[in-house]
Amino acid sequence: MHNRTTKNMISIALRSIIAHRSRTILSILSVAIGVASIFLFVSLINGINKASTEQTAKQNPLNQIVVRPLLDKTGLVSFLTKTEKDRLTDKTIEEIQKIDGIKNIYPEIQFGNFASIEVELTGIGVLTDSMIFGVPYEFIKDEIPNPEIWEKTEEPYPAILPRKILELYNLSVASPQSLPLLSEKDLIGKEIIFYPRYSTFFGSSENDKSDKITLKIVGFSDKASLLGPTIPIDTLKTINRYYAPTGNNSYTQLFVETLDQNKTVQVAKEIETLDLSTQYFTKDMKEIQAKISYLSIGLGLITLIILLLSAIAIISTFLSQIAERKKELGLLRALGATRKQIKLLIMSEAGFIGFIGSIFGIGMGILAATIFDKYAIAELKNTIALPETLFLITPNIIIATLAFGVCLSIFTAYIPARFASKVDPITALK
Amino acid sequence: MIVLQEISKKFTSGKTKTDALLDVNIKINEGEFVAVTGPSGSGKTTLLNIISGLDSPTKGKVLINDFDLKHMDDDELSRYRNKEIGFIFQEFHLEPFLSVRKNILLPTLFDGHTHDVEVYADELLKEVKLTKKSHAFANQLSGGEKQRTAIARALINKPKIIIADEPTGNLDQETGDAIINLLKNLQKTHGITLIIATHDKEIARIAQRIIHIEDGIIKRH
Repeated sequence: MHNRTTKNMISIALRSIIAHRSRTILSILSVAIGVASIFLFVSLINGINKASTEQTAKQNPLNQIVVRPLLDKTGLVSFLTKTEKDRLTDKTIEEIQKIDGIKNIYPEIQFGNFASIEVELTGIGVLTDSMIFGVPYEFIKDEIPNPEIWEKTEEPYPAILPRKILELYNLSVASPQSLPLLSEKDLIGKEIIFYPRYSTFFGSSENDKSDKITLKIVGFSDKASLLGPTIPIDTLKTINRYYAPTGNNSYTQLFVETLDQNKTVQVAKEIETLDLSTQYFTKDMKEIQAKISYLSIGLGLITLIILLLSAIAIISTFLSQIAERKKELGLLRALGATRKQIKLLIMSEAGFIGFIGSIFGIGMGILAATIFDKYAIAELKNTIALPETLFLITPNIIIATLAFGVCLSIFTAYIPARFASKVDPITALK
Repeated sequence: MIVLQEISKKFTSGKTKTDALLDVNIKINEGEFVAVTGPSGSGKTTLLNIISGLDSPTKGKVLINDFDLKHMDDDELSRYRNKEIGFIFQEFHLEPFLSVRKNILLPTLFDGHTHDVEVYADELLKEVKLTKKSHAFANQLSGGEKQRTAIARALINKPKIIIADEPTGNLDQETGDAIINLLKNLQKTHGITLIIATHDKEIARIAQRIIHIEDGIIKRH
């Protein structure tokens, strides 16, 4: 019997919202605005999270740990003094290899002196100081078609560049100066002149541009250092022996590959006990998540204000309708409706309005996200680095937002529903 | 049987206190047709509201078949109104967004019932001669049709008491007479207690008993 009366109340609620179209539309609009804002907020944060995760995973695969000397033991002073102390050496590799769960260790070395590179881009010669790094083929094999290219022992030596450098060039040089944008395809095969005795910043009596080594771009990789071209480790060792014989023989960093990605954190912790600094996906993600959480708080506050305004709009629309519907509610009370049934009636109306409003709100959100992605991202793509879409819309977000909209509407209608249940039939029917 | 014992009702507005009813003692038998008469503001509506459980007296007892209404909580009073009382108002008070049939069925929505309300609604539609208008909305009806709808709505839950507050007040003489005749016939056929508050001397004349109130005091019954 209770279920039947509940069903009856819901049926009256449905008829009532159809009958009172104008206020229903107003309420639906209030819910839709609130839901659209929360939908955009959640899908934006979700999208940023996904883009950051993908970017981090590209640079730091789940089973990779980047090992460096502790920060306070490196830096310019250490570089200038060329001290071996606290640096990464073959002995460090041996120690790390003793840890369980290690698959491979790829060392990275650096040219041991100041140097510069020159490259011609879109008809303009660019000369800049640069570092040169060396890594083994196995480390970047996914980016190079075959080992022969990487193990070439004659000039031009193969070199790979970080993908980020291309993005940075396009964003900070090409776009502002209206130069053509460059793609990986444009640069592959291009030669870079490496001056091992010449620095544009640190000029000295030894500054000499006559020695030059030709490098040829053979690929791009997210694993390559941002600070300069990366070439085969053996080639760089040979160059170092000739041009930087006094330089240290240590490694700049080690790329440790674990056997099981689930054990990466555990292995990293053990490496840290060797007085070394580590960087890995989970650690990076934690830092990124912390940054995203600041963004979430900021956007969340704005969304909260919009939600509050929506809630106030829903409450005031419902309160004003209750004032208008006093006679109707008074009649229902006189005819035998209990206070609980009147509350149920108003909250059922709110539920329907919340459902329809949420569907509209989600539709508005999807439309806004699509428009933003289509026009704004296309416009901004050359000025700031943005992913294909900033909004990640998933079925879970749609379901959760729909449920949220219905709940928002029902909860905010609770106060007006209480007022409605207290309508005095005698006064209302006068 | 309806028994009112020593009923008083005071209304307070600011510092002013008004006695709407003063020491009212009435007995109304089951199946009786009673007209409550008196000038405007004499306390007729207050008396009906107290009998129907819409209002409570400041003092005294309302016994319906020996059960004191003051022992009922708000939900029980709602159920009492729903099951035992049928209301007919001067202003009709039909839901504009419901059809005639749905308006008639409205009181059945709040609680369970032992009879087939859909079949009974059809019977009542026939009795009040609105079968052809069963799907029409309130704004498509004449005053008389609206009040006939309200009468059928008052009867749908098979109540024991019908309370009609100035049921002809908004109708012309001819329609008003027709409504009163209909009410009288229904009261006889359904065996219900009919209490009508009215200014109309003609209605008072055909009632079995007249309760006359002036300034909240029963002058004649």
